Parts: sequence; structure tokens; C-alpha cells
Amino acid sequence: MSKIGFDTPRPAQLRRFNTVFYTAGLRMQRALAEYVKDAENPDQLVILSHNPVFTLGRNATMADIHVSPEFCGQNGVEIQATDRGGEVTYHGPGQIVVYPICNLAGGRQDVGRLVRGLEEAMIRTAATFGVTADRLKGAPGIWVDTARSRKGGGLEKLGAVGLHLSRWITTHGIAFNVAPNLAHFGWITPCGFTDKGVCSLRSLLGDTAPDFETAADQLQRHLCECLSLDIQPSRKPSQSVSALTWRQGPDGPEILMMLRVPNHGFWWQSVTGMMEPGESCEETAHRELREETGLTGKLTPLPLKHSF
Amino acid sequence: MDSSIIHFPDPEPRFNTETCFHMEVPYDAPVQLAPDEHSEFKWCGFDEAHDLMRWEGSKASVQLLRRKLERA
Repeated sequence: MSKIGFDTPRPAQLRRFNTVFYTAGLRMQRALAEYVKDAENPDQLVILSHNPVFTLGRNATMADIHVSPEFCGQNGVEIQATDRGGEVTYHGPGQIVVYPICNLAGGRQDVGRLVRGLEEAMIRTAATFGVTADRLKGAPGIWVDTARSRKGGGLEKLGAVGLHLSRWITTHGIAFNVAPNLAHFGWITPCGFTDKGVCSLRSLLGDTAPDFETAADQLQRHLCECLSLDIQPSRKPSQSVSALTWRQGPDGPEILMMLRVPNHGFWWQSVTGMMEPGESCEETAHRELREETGLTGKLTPLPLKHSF
Repeated sequence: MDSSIIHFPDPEPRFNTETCFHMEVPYDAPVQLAPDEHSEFKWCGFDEAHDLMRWEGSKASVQLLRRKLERA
């Protein structure tokens, strides 16, 4: 086998988020790919998790999804076509997604080395938690032979690889299963395999499995080693607050929608705004409600914090 | 101002993290828009609000609020 990963250190910026909606992740990747086109700019290592979504690679068809789009919608799973290689796969909470946005021009024009470096980082991460995973010829990603540990087991994928390459700039990347909802993989033919399964650190280790952040820390460390990434400072994301404003109407709840003036985008939205220095999220929400609508109200958190 | 329409002088892409809330307001409270930010408003049911929202996170907020209030 040829070399694994890269040896020559390369400057990179790390961007670590919690939840990123899949379509917002595509916009992030496009912006960062444009940025790394300039060889003076560092590579980008983006670590995040997605909302539940089935993504179709260039070789996938809707026949690879065994449930209807309506069923997916009712169960909160989106369907998105992508320009990466491969068939259909699933992303969702509990799965670490990493987008290495790299400019391979100028001495690293070897996608095979990058793929093997990504696989190696996932293999080492699994080993950190006592899980033996390996490559499988003709099947990118990392695999665990669960037949060794339980009756009826077999080859199950722990981490997937799906890259897109354009003019030596890479987008898309890897997905490493910490504790996603594995039942969702049962609704598709994951990566085109009908004779192999999918596993996670949780399915393999039970209650002793690491949490998401602990696993992400390890994966980040091994990726930096295997790809020889020299992490540089990067700008932190700005912080904003949204406060979906509603009232109890005669026929049910009514949401306040406001149309932004043309030079602020000309689209409909509810109350939202950027946090100012020293403000708490709650203070921002109350201030924005007051400034944008003149209203006061009872503020309640929604279980959603996301980046874009 | 929404970060998605700001243009910055340096090329490093900018990202934003949003924390989501909902706020119930009295039914008959008068809405006073800030004219430099918004030109009109309307009160909508969940379906219309979901369709009008531009961004995926805003649409998800509507769905989350809907499920929360329908469970209550």
C-alpha cells in the first residue's frame, strides 16, 4: 500500500461547531473551498454534527432509500442530493462529521493518501477506546468485524469516507459514528452495501462508550497527526439569538413574521439579532424584541443551537 | 443585522452560532416595527410561517415550537 496521510506540515484552521444543518454545511464548505483556492490561505478542518439527513452521492438513486419522502419528513429526516462520490448515507446527531477542506495542489496531489490518512485517523480514534477497526479492500471507510464479539455479527461500518475533488480542492469528508440513531441506517442501503451493517461506539461499547465531545477531541488529534496539520488561530463565530415570537390566536398559535427592508435582504423572519458584548442570550432576545416590535413577552428556550 | 448580508474587507469566511428561543406575547399588544429593519408584518399559522422562513434553522424553530405547543 502506498503512503498513509501526509508528512509535510501544512498550516490549517480548525472550526468546530455543534449542530449545523446540512444545507448550511454545504454553504460553509463552498465558502471555505473558495478561501483555500488561494494557496497562501491555510487548509480547513471543520468538525460538526448534522440534523438527521439522508444524503445521496453521485452514484445513489432514490431506490436506495426504502421509505417514502413523506415518511422521512414525518420522522424529521431530510433528503439531500450532493456532489460527493458514493451512494446514500445518513448523518445525524451523535455522529461526528469532519470536512477537511484542503488545497492539494503544490505537492500533495494524491487523493489516495488523503483518504488513507482520514481512515487512519478514524482507526486510531477507535483504538483509543479499545475498538479494533480496519480498512476493507474496495470499500472505503473503516470496518469492525462484530462476529468476533457477538453471534450473528459481521462486518459493520464505524466510519465512512466520501470526498469531492475539484481542481485539487477537497470538500465533504468523513462521518464517525459515536452514538447516532442506527435505526435510521436501516431505512436505506447505506453506501450501496446489502450484506454489511453499520455500528457505532455506543453499539460496540454500550454504556462505556465515550461521549461525543470526548470522541471528537480524539478524532481531531489523530486527524491533525495523520494529515500533518499545523493548527493556526481562526476567527471565532459571531453569536446571535432568535426569538420566535407568537401569540395565542382564536384558531391556534400565530407566529409574528416580519419582512426585512430591501437593503437588509428582503426576506421574512421572526425576531432575531446579534449579541452585543457583555449580553446574555436572554438579554439579547428581550432587547431585540423591544427594538424590532415594541413588544415584551415571556421567553422560553427552544432545544436548538446551530451554526451557519 | 443578519451576518449573511454583511460584506467584510478580509476574505476569511465568517460564521455565526445562533441560540434559539420562543416568546409568547399578549394577543392584543400593538406591534411597532423598526422602519430601518422591517417594512411590514403579519401573524401566521405554523404552515405559512414555515413556508415564509428563508433559512433552515428558522424553519426548524417553527417545527420545534409546533411540536412543543401541540404536546402541551
